[in-house]
Amino acid sequence: MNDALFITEAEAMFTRLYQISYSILRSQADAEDAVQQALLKAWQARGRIHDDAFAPYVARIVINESRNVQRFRMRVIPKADIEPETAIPPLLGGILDAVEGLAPKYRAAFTLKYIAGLSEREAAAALKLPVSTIKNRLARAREMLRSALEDQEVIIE
Amino acid sequence: MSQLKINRAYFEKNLPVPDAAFVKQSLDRFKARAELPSRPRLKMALILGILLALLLAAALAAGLLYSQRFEFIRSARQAVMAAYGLSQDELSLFQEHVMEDSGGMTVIYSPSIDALAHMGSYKAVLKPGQPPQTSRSGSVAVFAPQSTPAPDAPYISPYGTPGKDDMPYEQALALAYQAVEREYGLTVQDIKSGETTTHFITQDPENPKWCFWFFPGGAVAGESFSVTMDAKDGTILYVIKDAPGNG
Repeated sequence: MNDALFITEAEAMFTRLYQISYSILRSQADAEDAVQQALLKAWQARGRIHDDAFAPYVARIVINESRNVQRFRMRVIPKADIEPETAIPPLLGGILDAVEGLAPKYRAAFTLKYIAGLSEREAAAALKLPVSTIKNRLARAREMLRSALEDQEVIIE
Repeated sequence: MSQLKINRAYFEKNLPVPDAAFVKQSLDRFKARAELPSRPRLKMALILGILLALLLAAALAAGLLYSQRFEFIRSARQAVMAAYGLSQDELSLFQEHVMEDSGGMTVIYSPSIDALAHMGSYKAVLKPGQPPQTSRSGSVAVFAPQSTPAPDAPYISPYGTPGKDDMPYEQALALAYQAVEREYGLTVQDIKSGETTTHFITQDPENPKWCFWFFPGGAVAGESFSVTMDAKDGTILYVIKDAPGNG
């Protein structure tokens, strides 16, 4: 992938990348740090990224970087002492809490599909898994979320 | 109560979006690092620079080698000319063969095969830091000064020149005419109608020889006649007719 295409793709994906990170970290500053770190890593590896594989590649890095920031923050500050930002609606906060409560393999598939907006094929490429596995994990994730959000009257499409 | 649909559109609408200034700042960092037009040019310039440096190095090495070779050959010429009393023009009659071996050089000066018996060959061996070693084989070529030939002489080859005890050119030529006339029935007029070459052979310095080649024109054009005689007393040694087609 050349420099020009990288910049074009990064610009098109920026909001989605930020939202992925924000959904994990719930902090503007932390999300910005994670996105910047992820894009920097992708930039350094741009020579190895296929032109049509930018979205799954970078989405996966953003998730990993966000988890790194999350782990670092939890080591420094006890989670109970972190006051979440109030920029998101309470219902969305509840949904994100439910997503956070999923096992990592279901959470990753759900995040790539519903928050990053990747297709099942792209999510499979990002996680280096067969598409059928992604389908199964998404089905299981939806089932668990419905259970966790049963009092919210939600439909997960 | 309506059910809430959770899909990509829901998250896109409800999750915060990044600050525009932050987006611009982030992308500008990459735009500043991107070297879209200059990168290929830089690569090409680097390749051209390396090629140019290699060419210059090769040219310098070739120049040094050529310079050393030229100096060797010049030394060889000077050594042969000094050792055997040859002038630059005289040496130019020889073919110059240069052979390089183990840091040194051997230069051989040889005439054509036809003239080898009369002119001999010369050799100069040169080693770095040592004076040239010269040697010769075959005859010593004795070159006549340019003014030696008689005014009416058709041509005297510069292979040798007679001494004071040798028969003069004019007398030897007259004897040669008589020999051809006697052996092959040509008149002196016939013989003079074409070109004549003269050699004074000093292969055996004690017994020099006059040698004349006649290439008549007219009715016998194409034939040639050679007369070789003792230069001391004019004794005819050979009279040879060479017919056309004998090579």
